[in-house]
Amino acid sequence: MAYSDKVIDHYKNPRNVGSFSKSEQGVGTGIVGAPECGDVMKLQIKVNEKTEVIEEARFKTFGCGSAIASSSLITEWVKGKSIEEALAIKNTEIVSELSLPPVKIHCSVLAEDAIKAAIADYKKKTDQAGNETHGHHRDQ
Amino acid sequence: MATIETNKHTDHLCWSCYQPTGGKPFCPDCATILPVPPQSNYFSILGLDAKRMSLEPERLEEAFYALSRQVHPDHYQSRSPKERQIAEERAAVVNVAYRTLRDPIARTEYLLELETSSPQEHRDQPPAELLSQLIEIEEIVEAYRGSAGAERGALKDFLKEVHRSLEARREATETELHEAFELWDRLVAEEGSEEAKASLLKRLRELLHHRSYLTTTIRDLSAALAGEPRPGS
Ligand code: FES
Repeated sequence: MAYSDKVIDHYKNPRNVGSFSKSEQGVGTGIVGAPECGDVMKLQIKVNEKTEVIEEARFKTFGCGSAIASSSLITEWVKGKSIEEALAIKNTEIVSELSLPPVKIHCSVLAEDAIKAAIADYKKKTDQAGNETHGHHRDQ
Repeated sequence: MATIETNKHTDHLCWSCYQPTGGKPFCPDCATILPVPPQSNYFSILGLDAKRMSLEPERLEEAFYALSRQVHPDHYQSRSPKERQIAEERAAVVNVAYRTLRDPIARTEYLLELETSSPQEHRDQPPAELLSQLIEIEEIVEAYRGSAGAERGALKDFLKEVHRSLEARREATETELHEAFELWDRLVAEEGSEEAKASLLKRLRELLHHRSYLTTTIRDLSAALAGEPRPGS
C-alpha cells in the first residue's frame, strides 16, 4: 500500500518514542490494542499537576506504519494542550492530516483510544493520591 | 407488511414449475436447480443445523463435496443458460460457505456477524494485564534486535521460553473457544435466554481478540528469533 508522505515522515522519524516510568508523578499511561490486527500501543503523558497541561508525551507502538505515524503525530499534538483539549482530539483529524485510507482508520482510532486511556489513568492516579491523606503511596 | 409476505412466498416457489420448494437446492417436484434463497446463511447453505458451532471437519468436508458435485458445471453443460448460471452461483456460495465454516476463527467471526451489530460498537479493550505483558515482551524483542554478544545469547534463550509460553496460551484460547462452541450449541438447542446468548457471544469475541493479540506478538517474536524485522501489518 502506498503511504502518504506525512505517514512516511512520521514512520521514518517518529517523534517522542520512548517511555516514562509508570509510577512517576503526573504520568498517565494508556495501553491499547487493535483486535483487528493484534497491534498494540503504549502512550504516556506527563502532566503538570497544577495547570493540568500536558508537558510531554511518549509512545511505543508495535504496529503498522500508520499506527506509528498516528501515535507520533498525536504525541506532538497533545504537547502544550490541557487534558480537556487533548480529550477532544478525534481520530478523524489524524485521518485527514495523514491522508489515511479507509483500511487504516482503525490505526488512528488506536491513537485516539491511547490518549484517552492515558488521561483516564492520569486522573485515576491523581484522584487516588488526593484520597490518600495519610501520605501512603500505594504502588500500582 | 404485505410486500414482504409476498416476496417470501415467491422465494419459496420453484421458478420453473411454481411448486413450493421448502428452501431446498433442487425443486422437490421437478428437480430443477434453485437459486440460493436470500435469507439463507452459510450454515443453511451447507445443509447444517442453524448456527451450529461444533462442527466435525470430516462431516463438513463430506457435505461440501456432496453439494459441490451436485452443482458441478459438468452436469449443466446441456442445460438452459439460467440453470447454468444458478449452478455457478450455487457452486461459488458453497465454496465461500465451506471456507468460512471450516476455519473455527472465521466461523466465529461469521457467527458474531450474524448475531451482533457492527464491530464498531465493540471497541472494549481487553484486560490491561494481557496488553501490558505483550508490550513488555515487544520491548524485549526490540532490545534483542539491537543486541550483540553475550547479552544477545541470554535474550535469545529468554525469548524462546516466552515464545513457548505464548504458544501455550494461544492453544488454551483455542481450547476455550471450542468449549464455548459446545455451550453455544446447547443454548441454541435448549432455546436458552437471550442474556445467556449475549454473554456467550461477548466471550467468543473476547477469545478472538485475545487470540489476535497473541498471534501478532508470536509472529513478531518468531521473526526476531529468525533474524527478521517485524512483519508488516
Ligand atoms: S494495521 Fe494494526 S494498527 Fe494499523
